[in-house]
Order: sequence, then C-alpha cells, then structure tokens
Amino acid sequence: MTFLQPWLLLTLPLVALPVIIHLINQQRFQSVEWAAMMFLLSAKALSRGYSRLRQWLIMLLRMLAVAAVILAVSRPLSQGWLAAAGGDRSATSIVLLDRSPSMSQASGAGGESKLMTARRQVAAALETLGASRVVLIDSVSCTPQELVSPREIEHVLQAEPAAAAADLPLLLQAACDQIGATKSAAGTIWICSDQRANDWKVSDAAWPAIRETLAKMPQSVRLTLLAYTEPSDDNLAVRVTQAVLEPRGKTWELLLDIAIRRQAEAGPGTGRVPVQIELGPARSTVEVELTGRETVLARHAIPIDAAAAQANGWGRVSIPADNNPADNDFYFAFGTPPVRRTLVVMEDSQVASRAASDAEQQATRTLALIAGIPPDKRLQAKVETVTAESLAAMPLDDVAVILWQAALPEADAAGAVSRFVSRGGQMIFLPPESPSSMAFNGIAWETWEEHSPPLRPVSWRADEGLLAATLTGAALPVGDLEIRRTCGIAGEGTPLAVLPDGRPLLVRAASDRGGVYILATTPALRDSDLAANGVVLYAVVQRAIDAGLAAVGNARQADAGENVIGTTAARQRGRSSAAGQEEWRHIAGPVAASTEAGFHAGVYASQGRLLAVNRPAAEDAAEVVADAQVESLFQGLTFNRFQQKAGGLGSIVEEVWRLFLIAVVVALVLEGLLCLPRRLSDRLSPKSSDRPPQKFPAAQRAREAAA
Amino acid sequence: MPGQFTDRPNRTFLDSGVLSRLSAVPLLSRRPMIGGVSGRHVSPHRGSSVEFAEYRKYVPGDDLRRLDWRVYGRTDRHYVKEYEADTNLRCCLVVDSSGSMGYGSTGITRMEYARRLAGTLGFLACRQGDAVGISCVADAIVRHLPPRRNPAHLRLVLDALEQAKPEGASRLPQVLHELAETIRQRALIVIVSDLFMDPEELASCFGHLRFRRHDVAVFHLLDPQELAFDFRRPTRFLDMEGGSPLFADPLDIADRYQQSLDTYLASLKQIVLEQGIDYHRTLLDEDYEKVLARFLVSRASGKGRR
Repeated sequence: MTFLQPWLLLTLPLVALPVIIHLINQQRFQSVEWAAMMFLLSAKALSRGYSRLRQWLIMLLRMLAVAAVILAVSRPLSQGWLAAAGGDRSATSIVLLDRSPSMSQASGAGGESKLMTARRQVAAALETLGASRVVLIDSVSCTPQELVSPREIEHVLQAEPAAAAADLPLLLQAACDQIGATKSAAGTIWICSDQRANDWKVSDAAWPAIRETLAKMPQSVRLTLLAYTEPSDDNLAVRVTQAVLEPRGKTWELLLDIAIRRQAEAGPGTGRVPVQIELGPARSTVEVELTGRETVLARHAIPIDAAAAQANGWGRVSIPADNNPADNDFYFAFGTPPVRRTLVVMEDSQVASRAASDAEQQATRTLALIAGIPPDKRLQAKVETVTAESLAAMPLDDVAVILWQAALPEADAAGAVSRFVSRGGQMIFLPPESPSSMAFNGIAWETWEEHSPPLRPVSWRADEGLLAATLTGAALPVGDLEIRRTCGIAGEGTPLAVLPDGRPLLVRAASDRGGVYILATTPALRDSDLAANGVVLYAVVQRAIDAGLAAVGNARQADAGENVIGTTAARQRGRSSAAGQEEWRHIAGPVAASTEAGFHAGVYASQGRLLAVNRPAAEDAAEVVADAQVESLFQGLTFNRFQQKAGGLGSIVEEVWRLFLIAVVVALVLEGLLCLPRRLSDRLSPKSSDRPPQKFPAAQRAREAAA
Repeated sequence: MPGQFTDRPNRTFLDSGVLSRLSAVPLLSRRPMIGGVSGRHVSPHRGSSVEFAEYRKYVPGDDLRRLDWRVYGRTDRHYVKEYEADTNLRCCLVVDSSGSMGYGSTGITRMEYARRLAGTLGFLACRQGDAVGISCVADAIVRHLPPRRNPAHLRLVLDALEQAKPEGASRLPQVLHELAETIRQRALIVIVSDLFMDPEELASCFGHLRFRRHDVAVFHLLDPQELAFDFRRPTRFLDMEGGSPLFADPLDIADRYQQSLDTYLASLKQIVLEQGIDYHRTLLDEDYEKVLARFLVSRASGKGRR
C-alpha cells in the first residue's frame, strides 16, 4: 500500500498506546481491605476463558482503531501496486496517448469514449499521486509535451481524437528518449490504448530494441498499461473502397464501392442500414441490407453533371450514429482519371551486348505494349522508353509506374527513383542481362539460372498485392506460367510468388510508401512465357499503374497519418517527404489543428487537386493484441496492465482513507459492545441466565484444607 | 442501661432509647422451649398457665386438684383439665468475630453492627427472664459463655461482646456443629455473621441445629459496597481473613463478581427456606433498631407454632 503522507507512518508505534495505558493503569492500583474474597476468587476463576479472550479482543480493537486512524491520516491509495508505480513524486510521468479512431468508441451511444475516459482517469490518477512532472506524448505528433498540471491532459488539443492510427513502438521510443534526456531519477510510462493490433505492431523490429533500451536504463522505469479493450459488437464502420468517375453516354456517373463492416465476429447480419451520401449540396440515402460481417455495396452509381465531371469533386458517406462516431463518416474524392504514364527503363545500348540487346528489346517492347493498353478505352495511356542515365533528368511527377529492366539504379538515378517511390510511385525491377553486385533498397541481383524443364509457380499471394484474385474472386493463372530462366534475388523482401525450388518469382521490397517489386525473370521468350500468357503480366502492370496513379491523380484517397500533407506533426514523426511540402487547404471535415491536418479525417485541396483523408482500413478491424502477447512485449520490465472500461466512473488510483475511518468506527463500536457490562449482555442473551449455580472454589479449598 | 452497669456505664453499642422502645415487643421463640422456670415461651409440656390446653382422663397418681369437678358432675367421669406450660428459653448469641467482620464502608463495621444487634437482643432476653449466653467464633470458639438467667451474667455477655475483635479466619460451620452438640436443651440460636462461606457447609450445620430442635435465627450482615462492587480503578484486594491478596481490575470482573454473589445469595435463600431458619439479610446502612423490630414482630406474630 502506498501513502501520500508516508512520513505519518512513523507514528505507527502509537498503536502500542492502549497497551501502555493499560500497563500504567495496572501500576496505579489501590489497595483495599476486602471481606468478600470468595466472590472475587470465583469471579477470577470465571474470567479465565471467554473473559480473557474478550479482554484481548478489546485491546486488539483499540490498537486497530489507533492504527486505522494513523493509516487514514497518512492518506492511503487504492490499488497499491499501481499507486506504487506512480507514487514517486520525483519521477517523470510520461503519458503515451493512443488517439486512433478506435479509441473514440464509447460504452454506449452518447457515452464517454475510451479516449476521454483514459484522459480523465490518467489525469485524476496523476493528480492524486501528486506527479510533479507530466509529459504527454500523443500518437499523432509522437513528440514530448510537458504539461503544467495533470489536469491539462483533459484539455490540450494534442489529446483530442484523430483519424490516424497509433504507432506504439514509435511512442515508446519517444518515451525512452525523453527519459534519457531528462535524467530524472525514475520514470513512469502510462500507456493509454485499446490494444489494437494495427496500433501495437507486435511484429515490428523495434520492440526488442525498445525492451533492451528500457531494461538498460539507469533509472527505474515502470510501465503501466491502461487497456480499454472492451469490444463493441453493435458498432458499424463505413468505408468507400473505390470512387470512380465513368462516362455513361453523354453524362458521367460516379461509381462508389461502399463497404459496411461490423465489429462483431459472429452474429446474424440482420437489419438495414441507411447510408447517406453527400455530394456537394446534394444528399441521397441508400439502404444497405447487412449480410455477414462485411457488406459491400458495389458500384453504386450517382449521376454527375458533365461540367462538374471535367473537374474533380469530393463527397462524404455516413451511417447513423453508433458507439464509435469516428468510423461513421468517410470522405472520398473523385476526378477524371489522369493519363496512365509509364516509363520503361532499359539498359544503356553502349553497355549491353548485341545478343542481350535483342532479348532486352523484346522484353522492353512487351512491357511497353502491355503498359500502353489501358483497361478501359476511355482511359489514356502513355508509355516512354528511356535509359537509366537519362532518368535522373526527367520529371517524374506524373509518372505512375517505372518498369526497370536494367542494372539497379545508382547515384543520381537512385536518388530520383527513391524520391519517386517515396511520393507513392510504383517500381517494378526486371533483371538485366548482366547483373551487377550493386544493391538498391537492400535488394541486389545474383546470377542467371536456366530451368529445364521450365518451372511453374507453386504458390502466390492471391489475397493482396499485384497477384491478388480478381473482384469476381477468380485467381490469376499464375500457376500456368512457364519460367525458363530466373535471376537470383539477394536481400530481404516479401515473396509474392514462389517457384517449386523455393526461389521467389516476384518479391516486394520494404518501403514506407509506394511500391518496389522485383520480378526474377523477364517477358522475353527465352526467359518465360509472361508475354505469351500475357494475362498475369498485364494484371501486374496495370495494377501497379493503378496504384501509382493514386499518387498523381487530381483526386486522391489517403490514410490519415501518411506523409501526404507536410504538417508539423508529420515532420515530427519523421514522415515528411518532398511530396509533402505542398500547402494543403482544409475544405471539409472536422476542424483540427493545422499542425495535425493530415491526421484528421477530411478533405484537403491544393493547386486544384483534392485529397480525401480517412482512417486507415486497419482501424476497422477489431483485432486486439492478446494480453499474453502484450506481456511478452514487456518481458523483463516492470510492467502492470490495467483493464479499463470506456465511461468507467471509477478512478485508477483513489484515496481510501474513508475505508480506514469506517474501520475506526467499526473497531470502536465493537470495542464498546465488548465493554458493555455483563448484566446487559445477559439481558440481551437469555441463555446466559440458565447457568447452573456456581461452586465456590475458595470455600471448597478451605474445606479441603480443613479436612 | 444506666441502672444495671453502674461501674461501666459506657456500652457504646447499646442505646437506651432503642432498648426502651424495643422492650414493648417480647422476644418470643418460634418453637417450644424446655426451660427450668416459668416464662413467656411455649413449652412442650402441660403446665399451670391460664391458657387451656385439653381434657385428659384421670389416671391414678394425677393431682386431684386438677380434676374438673363440673365435668364429673355432668358426665360422672373423671377428667383432668390441662393448661399450656409457659417456660423460659435459652438464648445463645453466636457472633462471628473473624477478620471479615471488621469490614465496613458506611462508617460502621460489621463487628460493631453485630455488637449492637447481639447486645440489644441479649438485654431484651435477660429482661424478660430468659437465659442468655454468647459464643464469639473465628477460626475456633474465641469466647463462650453458656446461657444463664442471672442479670450479672448479662454483664459478662456484654463484656464479651465489647472485647470481641475481628481477626482470624472464620470456621463458623465447624463451631455451629460443635454448639449443636454442646447445647443440650432447646435454645434460640441467634447467629450474627457475614456468612462468607460455602452454602453447602452452612446447610449442613443449620440442619444439625434444627435436628437438635433449636430455633435458629440468622442475621446476615452485608455491606452495601459488597453488593454494589462499584470500584473503578485496578485494585489490590487484601484478604481480611489472612488469605493471599488478589489484584484485579474491577471493571473486568465486576460482572462475574455479581454473578457469583447472586448465585451465593440464591443458594443461601434456598437453604434457609428448606431448613426453616429465621433469616434476616441486613445491610450495614440500615438502622439496627428497625432490623430488630422487624425481627421481634415477626416472631411475635408466629407465637404458638409447635
């Protein structure tokens, strides 16, 4: 148990006061000549049993009463180990606040959200503990902000809900840096989170490093997790997975794919949900019949004025209020599709050999052909073939995809490619005829190897990525491909397709934004039948183009927290990029601090382009990190976990001196009852009057002595 | 008593006013007494008092003066007319002089109170012509004077009372057994004591006295403090009869003390009822004149019981 006035515990020896008073009274006796000794002796003999016990009980109760008074004035705190976690006033209290949309979930419609509850409880706990120094690190800025008082947590803008997902490893790293920088004697880290898997990123490589950093700190660091994992089965989340503008005769139609997701794993998907679609001043409502956990209203068509269709626009989809208001709205932006511009980079002709040049040209032509055929005739495609050397000097702002069939980029070209990828561009590397040892983004080419008979891919990722199944659910015919020659890939990456001998055919390299893919073969006939069986290659290239266009179109969708908007918060999180230096103007959505513009849902405009920012898709998944897994993340550290509930009225740490006062009263009442005269007790208990007549031991002894 | 004790006029335990007022009520025996001379008490034998008892057939040898000639004239049969015999009694005063008799919280000790009771009774008995004796008992018979009708003997009795000092342990039951065997004639045994002893032993000695056809009267002297036991502070109780001292917190043992005392008094009450003892519980703060008046009146109303 922890006390706010622990020095008062030094008075605990006063517990012996009743004993001392008793002893003093024993010494202050009077001597009286007495005749009726036989009754005294008899009374003494009777008092050896229950009476002796009663005396001890009275003494014990008096001591308990004194002890309870001392404990009460020492201001004890409930939940002792938690109080101990924050009881050191000299320690720096760092509050890590998960501001992700899932923390906006309330216990009931209109109730207090998890985030509000966490702010209130942490503020009350820190105030009760008398924390002298409180530092807030929120999941948006990930920057320490020292607060004047703990109650400020309830009022600062940096604690308001946001649309961006949290990054717990990043928050903890910031906390470690803060503790290390302050050199305080001890540090207490309070984590307020709903333990969502997408926020905690348990597979992140930073966790072991964080654990090691905290363990090696010279200060004693305690971690306290306030977990608000209470699910909300009735919560629905709405999302627009696609907003496409398509011509319909002389007019245009906006085709929306609207997905409604229920948080509950099971349960009958009954009921109809009215979905309101706002498009400028026009509002329409469509009722969606819920079926299963996720219901998709595919290609919901909304006629668009032809004039408006020439520009871009935005809208909002809403569902009725439920437990979590943060996932009831979704903003979308649409516009005329941009030109599908693709660059095919080939080996420098001066370097390539003659024979190799033919094969490369064959592959290059195939790639250019495939990239130049748009999936819809109304779309425009533009393909350019360039050399690696000339790439550095080319503008890449409107390029969606670069198909790179040359030695990996270096020097200026590598810088241009990196910038291209970081702004959302897509790269597909194909092996050159003469691979070099040069590496890009951790990936390097090895040597060519021929396969006879040709190999067919045995497994590939059909759930996501470039080889994902079609919208109808049919898988791409990846297994029908014949691979005759592959070039080895060195480095870390995620295999998307694997050959029978375990070699990867298609690999995705790690990147913050954009996409970097490495194909182990080329479309040349001597290497594979990618060209002859062109469905797979066409799908791969066109999907890469679609993904790349998302970064260059005049109407884009973005997840909150991405480095699309160069806000202060984004820079603080280290996610700012060259592309994020544009000045975006907030035009729709809840008003938020300008420094956190990209972290709140809404629509932003810049130079005629629209950007709809929404919560990440992972926020709609109610997957929670298991408690045991959380424990393992903090293994070896002083870590306590508290299960809390949204809207919970109780405080985390409470003064419990009232309980001790009640204990004082109870002890004194019991002591008074025990001190009641025996005759009153006899009246209260009629059985005591039925005792048999007592013998007189003194007279008995005298008679025996006389005999 | 100025006339009788001219050389020792200061009997502090005797009050002439009390004596004169109580003289109006005779001290009577509740049971027939066998005395040597005529007196005021009922005798088991027929005698020459004025109170008719019964007719009895004449048998040779009877005194012809007792023959009722009127009955003979009516019935032609000889009947002897008999009358109740009034005799004197022997009053044995048994005064407990053990150490516990020295206790008194009301300004008067139990011993002093006993002196007043026993002295007054002795005087009243002597005055109506009864024999008076005294036994002062502690751990043994300290002083014993057999009953005598001589007024000079009363002086010795009063001297014995005056000289009695409360000391030593009490062996009243053993002494009463001894007296029961010693006093051969029927007598009025007046016991003045605190009776702080086992009720079973008292029952035994009372039974012995009653078996000897003695009329037993008991003055049970109790101090109000002994009944209330209202001490507040821890106290070291010194046994007035020489026993080991006892240290106790009165608040702790008051309830048990009361329980023990109540049990004792209830037992004693049961014993005196069973044995037909004339029992008087007397508190030391009571006026002894009232106590004695109650005692005398109750006995006068019970006259003639055999």
